[in-house]
Amino acid sequence: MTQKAFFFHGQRCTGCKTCQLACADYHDLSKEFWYRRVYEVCDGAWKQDSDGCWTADTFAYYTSVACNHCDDPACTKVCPTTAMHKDSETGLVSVDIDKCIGCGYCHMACPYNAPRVDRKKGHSVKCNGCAERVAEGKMPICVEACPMHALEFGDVDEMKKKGEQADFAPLPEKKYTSPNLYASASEHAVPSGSEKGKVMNPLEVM
Amino acid sequence: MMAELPLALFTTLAPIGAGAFIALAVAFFTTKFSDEQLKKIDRMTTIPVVVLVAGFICAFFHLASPMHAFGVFAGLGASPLSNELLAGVVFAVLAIVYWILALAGKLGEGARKGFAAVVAVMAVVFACFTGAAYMMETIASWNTPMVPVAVLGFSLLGGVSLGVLVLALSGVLEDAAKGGFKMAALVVLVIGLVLGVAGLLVQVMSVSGMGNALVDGADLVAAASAPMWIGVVCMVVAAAAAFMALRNSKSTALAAAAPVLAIVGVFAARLAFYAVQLSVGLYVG
Amino acid sequence: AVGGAAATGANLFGATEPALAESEEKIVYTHCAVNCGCCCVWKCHVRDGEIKYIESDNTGSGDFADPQMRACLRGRSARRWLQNSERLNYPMKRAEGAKRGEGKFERISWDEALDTIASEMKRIRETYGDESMYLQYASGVTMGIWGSSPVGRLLNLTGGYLTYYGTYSNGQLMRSSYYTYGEAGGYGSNYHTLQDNELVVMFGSSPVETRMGGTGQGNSLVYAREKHNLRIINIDPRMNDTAAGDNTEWIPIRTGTDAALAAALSYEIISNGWADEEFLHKYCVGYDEETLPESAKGKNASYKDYILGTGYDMTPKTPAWASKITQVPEQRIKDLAREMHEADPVFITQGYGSQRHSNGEATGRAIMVLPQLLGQIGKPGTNDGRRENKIGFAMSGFPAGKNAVKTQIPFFLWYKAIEEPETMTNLNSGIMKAEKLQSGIKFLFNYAGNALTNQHSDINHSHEVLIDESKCEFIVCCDVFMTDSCKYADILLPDLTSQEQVSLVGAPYNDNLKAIIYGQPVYEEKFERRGIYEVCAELAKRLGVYDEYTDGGKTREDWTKKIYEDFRAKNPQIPTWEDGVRQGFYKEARVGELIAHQKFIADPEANPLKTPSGKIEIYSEDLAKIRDTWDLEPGSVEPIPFFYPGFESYQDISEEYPLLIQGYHYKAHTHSSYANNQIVQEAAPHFAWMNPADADARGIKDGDTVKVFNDRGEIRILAKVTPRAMPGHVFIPQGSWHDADMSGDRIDYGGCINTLTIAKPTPLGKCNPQHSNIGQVEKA
Ligand SMILES: Nc1nc2c(c(=O)[nH]1)N[C@H]1C(S)=C(S)[C@@H](COP(=O)(O)OP(=O)(O)OC[C@H]3O[C@@H](n4cnc5c(=O)[nH]c(N)nc54)[C@H](O)[C@@H]3O)O[C@H]1N2
Ligand SMILES: Nc1nc2c(c(=O)[nH]1)N[C@H]1C(S)=C(S)[C@@H](COP(=O)(O)OP(=O)(O)OC[C@H]3O[C@@H](n4cnc5c(=O)[nH]c(N)nc54)[C@H](O)[C@@H]3O)O[C@H]1N2
Ligand code: SF4
Ligand code: SF4
Ligand code: SF4
Ligand code: SF4
Ligand code: SF4
Ligand SMILES: [Mo]
Repeated sequence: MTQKAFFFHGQRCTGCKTCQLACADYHDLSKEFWYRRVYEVCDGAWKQDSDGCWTADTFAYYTSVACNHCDDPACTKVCPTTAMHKDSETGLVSVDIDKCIGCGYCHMACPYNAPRVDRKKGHSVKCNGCAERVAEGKMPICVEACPMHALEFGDVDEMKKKGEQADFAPLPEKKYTSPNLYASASEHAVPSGSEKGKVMNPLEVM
Repeated sequence: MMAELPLALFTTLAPIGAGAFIALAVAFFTTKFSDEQLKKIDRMTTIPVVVLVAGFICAFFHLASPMHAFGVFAGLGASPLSNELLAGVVFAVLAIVYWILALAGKLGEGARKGFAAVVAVMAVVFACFTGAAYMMETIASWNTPMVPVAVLGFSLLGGVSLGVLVLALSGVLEDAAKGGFKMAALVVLVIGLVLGVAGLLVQVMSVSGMGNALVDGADLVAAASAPMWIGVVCMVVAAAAAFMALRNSKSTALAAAAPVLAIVGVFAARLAFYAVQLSVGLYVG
Repeated sequence: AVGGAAATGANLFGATEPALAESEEKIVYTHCAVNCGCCCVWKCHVRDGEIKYIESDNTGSGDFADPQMRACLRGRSARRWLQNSERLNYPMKRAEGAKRGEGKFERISWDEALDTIASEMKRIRETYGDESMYLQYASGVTMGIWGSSPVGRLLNLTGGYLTYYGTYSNGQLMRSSYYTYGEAGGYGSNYHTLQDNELVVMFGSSPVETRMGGTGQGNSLVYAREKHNLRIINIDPRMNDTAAGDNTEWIPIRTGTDAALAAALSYEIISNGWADEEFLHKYCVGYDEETLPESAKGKNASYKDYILGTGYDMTPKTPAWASKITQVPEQRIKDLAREMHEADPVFITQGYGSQRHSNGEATGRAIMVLPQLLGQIGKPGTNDGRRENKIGFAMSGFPAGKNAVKTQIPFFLWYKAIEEPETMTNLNSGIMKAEKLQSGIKFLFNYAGNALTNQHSDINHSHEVLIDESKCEFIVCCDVFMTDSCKYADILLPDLTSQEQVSLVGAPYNDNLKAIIYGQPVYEEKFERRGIYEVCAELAKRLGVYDEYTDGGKTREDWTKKIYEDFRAKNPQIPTWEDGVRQGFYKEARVGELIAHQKFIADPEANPLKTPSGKIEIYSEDLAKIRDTWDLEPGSVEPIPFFYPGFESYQDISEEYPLLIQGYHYKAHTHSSYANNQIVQEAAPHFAWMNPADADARGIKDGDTVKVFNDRGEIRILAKVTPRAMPGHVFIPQGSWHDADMSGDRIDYGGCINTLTIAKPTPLGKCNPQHSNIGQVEKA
């Protein structure tokens, strides 16, 4: 098996959300079921001096997150039906819609906010790594869409060469699921769990 | 929160329904009932069976594709949910078989005691598994033994309350309360109350020190504190009502109030539980 | 390229999709046509007459260094815009008895629509003269050879029409540039001249938000930042997405005060002896007494006098002085000046944000003077203080022909030319090529524009201007949706979009490559929508100029091919039309650096600028003349780069209206285009950004609905409480759709900032001061 992985170039990402919407276009998703979401982390305090001048230590950065097709997926572990499964060839994690009962445990367990239950469809839905495109030798839609070339996809050994396994806010510590998300983090990135690592666009990632 | 309603109902009703069988087992071990009395008890056992089945129906409605539900055991061993459901199904099958046999008059005294004991043990296992199904490493606020402890507590507390009602409606509570049942039931009741309330409080309060990139545990606790305290108060009052029913065994009103309060209290406690769900990473409900 | 992705998988659009549909999928290339400063390829996967999904340019290595015309989030979502059920499908007239602005229409036949328009055109032209005909500023169809030229051609062939100069985009900067460098364009060097480790100083600019395509300047800046390890300083009252980037320092500045900061930087540069006097003496006019023109000598009129405190206002422009205006700490100003002095080269640039203010012309010039003082112009890695440049083929557009009417009004003053044309002169209203207006606008054609209301300042005022049928007697709108402007139409026409017709882009705004995009109709024409070329041909028939208009019967496709072949005759390397259509687009390798004024700097005598002096005019005699002759608020125009606060500025805030309300261009839409495409708005909703201090003081929490209001109106919008907002400000994305009951309370639930902006022109260019507003916010 060759495990597939994403590489995320945090130093390039501008938070434009093209990845998210290209995915939504291709997979015909509505707002409730984005497969990819872009998180804004931001913090800072303002000080005014006696002349009325302002200084701030504000920083901000964006992180584009879908399913990371983890080595140790939290979603498959809790899935009672094995509908959520890891492909033996590619390591991509996806939902077998004939098995899924839509219990939502994968949704609860995943610390990357990836799966959701679509009650209309009757099963959970999430990024499948554009498996059908990958099988044809194409890139996932989101990767090909990013105007900043901040997303890459390929064999994990290749992605590993480009950066570290993602371990910065707003993501969970990598130890939980060992995500196949490698990254060159923004210079502003703060560690997972940091006080300053709060998501500032909660309404956009619901 | 709305999405969790069916689950909250399931995790309220099923453990309480199961707990009632514990109370019945205790009754059988501590009291010698006449055949006539047993018949009445068996008929009134419909109540916990209905509570149990209602719980399972709620769980079923929580599923987006209940048609595929036969596949839920594929994850046995690995998936805590599969384990819970297996425990639930084993318990339910045992309980219902027991109940049918009892109704049909096929259980002699020894067989009844033995069977009731097995059902009771299975009820404890089921209650624990129901709680344990929520323990996952990636949900920091749930990943504590306090969760199964609390559900076991709910099961014992609610179960004894419901069991007392069954006995009261069967007209046998007075007899039972004269013997060892009163003390034994009281012990289980108190254990249930302590485990339930302490489990809930410890688990919920510990969340205030947690947080992730999206939410602060303290905010979750603040939001959960109303249902939590409602739950605690209702459970304490339920236990008191059950206790008084045992002491004043003629009052069916008290006996009826206890399980109703227990169900309300446990349900509120469960809502508080879901309200403090806190991922180690990103989770939006 | 047909059927290229036929096997995209049965589960793509639901597992139940029958497999047979797959074989019918075809790929059609077209392009985005709106006015966003980019132009991207849409590779449409079409099945059963509908786009199923859109890919973009994915040719070449896909590497960061290998440009692809990748569409942004808006382009990638466009199928839901094109195939929206709310599209205009039939010609309509204003309903019997309905007033303009009510939005009540009745479906009519094309014949009735065209007959009515033609007869009104005739009647109004005969009654009021050629100058009464107007083609409104509109940028909904910007990319490609077509635009609104068919309407222009029709109007020209029937006697001509009143035109405008300037744009909502950069009207102020065009004036600044004109009086400084002798050209009205706002562009300097491109980002490809950036050098290793150099310093970039940006005022009012966020190319990663305003040039979002894969070959836009946003991409180029991020690429150069990484490749050259740039250090970027981004000056903006809000921490824009460019300022948030790596290697970038954000300096928050009070909105509308960049000229004061620039003056203090000049003060530091001059008083520390860092000014490049040799450069200033050789290439510039008016830096010091010595280089002033004769007319200005002996009056302490030089820039140096102004800065050091010996000029007309006798105020030294020290960092301490500027810090109180800009709210940038004194020490930070001093440090910035030093950094700019020590850096070599330094790339100093401005976007259009700092100039879209009531004092914008002065601000534009104040920023331009900085590279002049430092001698940082004309060599690699430098810029002349204007916006970063772009590149494209010089393919001509559809020919509009010659206009017999010469008179021009500023783009912004169309409302005045309707309301009180008799008052407008060259000296009070910037009328060009005439001393005053003859008639004012009586017939208005609005093609692919929303600047009757939504995009123009003060919607509640525009409403009053437009509803008076005795003033502008006839309004035609041609659009694809029922926009707010369309509600004021007498006849409303349903257009085909560029993607639904043959189209061609030869001169995209791309930053870094020359490209051509060959657009083919993505699906058959639907409903009764008709393209503007054909509509104008029908009108031409009715007005007796059909042959001239169509040049003997040419169709849109005929013209497109002709324009292409004419261009190919001079550029034989580009593909044949057929090959081009087959491959969808054509790219030439990344173009190298463009350095502003390189030739002039190399040899100023041989290559003089087009200014009166042939040099860079720090002191402009033309501006001195304007100051002395025009009807102006005192102190609003000066011959040198200077600071004045303008109206609706920080000086005007009060207890009633203590906040500065500033707009910006947002990723969720291109102006109002695509702003009705729900999915994009859900991904990137509209928020009014507020600093936590301002929000707390008003009891406002993140996500609350707030009312933002001033004397001109009130909007409702969600608050975003963020430290990315400078205190004292509210930031509202421009372009959302106005949504108010105009016969009731007029509260705009759409959150359109132009409910709050002021319809008062800037002094010199008579432009849109749309980023200058004061007001208040309360929890709704
Ligand atoms: N407050 C404030 N106001 C501003 C600005 C600001 O910064 N602040 N910015 C200003 C600037 S820079 C500009 S350029 C203007 C832009 O203002 P406009 O030129 O009005 O641009 P849009 O709002 O995009 O409106 C374009 C219209 O074209 C329509 N359209 C799109 N495609 C087609 C088509 O194929 N055919 C037809 N017939 N119609 C089509 C759209 O539906 C829309 O109604 O706004 C200005 N307004
Ligand atoms: N996504 C998107 N892209 C677009 C458009 C769009 O609508 N959406 N419109 C396109 C068009 S037609 C145009 S003209 C351009 C417009 O391009 P710009 O005019 O450059 O864009 P703005 O967002 O108005 O301003 C750029 C930045 O200047 C800041 N700014 C505002 N006032 C001041 C000030 O007084 N001082 C300083 N230092 N900064 C200030 C704003 O906060 C903003 O971050 O964008 C083009 N690109
Ligand atoms: S498309 Fe690229 S730059 Fe834009 S948000 Fe996604 S990853 Fe970031
Ligand atoms: S990101 Fe979440 S859904 Fe994807 S494999 Fe990891 S745990 Fe599972
Ligand atoms: S929703 Fe489906 S995939 Fe997710 S855990 Fe339940 S059965 Fe598994
Ligand atoms: S890999 Fe495919 S499914 Fe996953 S986020 Fe990207 S586009 Fe969406
Ligand atoms: S809006 Fe601009 S950047 Fe986006 S696809 Fe269209 S042309 Fe490209
Ligand atoms: Mo513009």
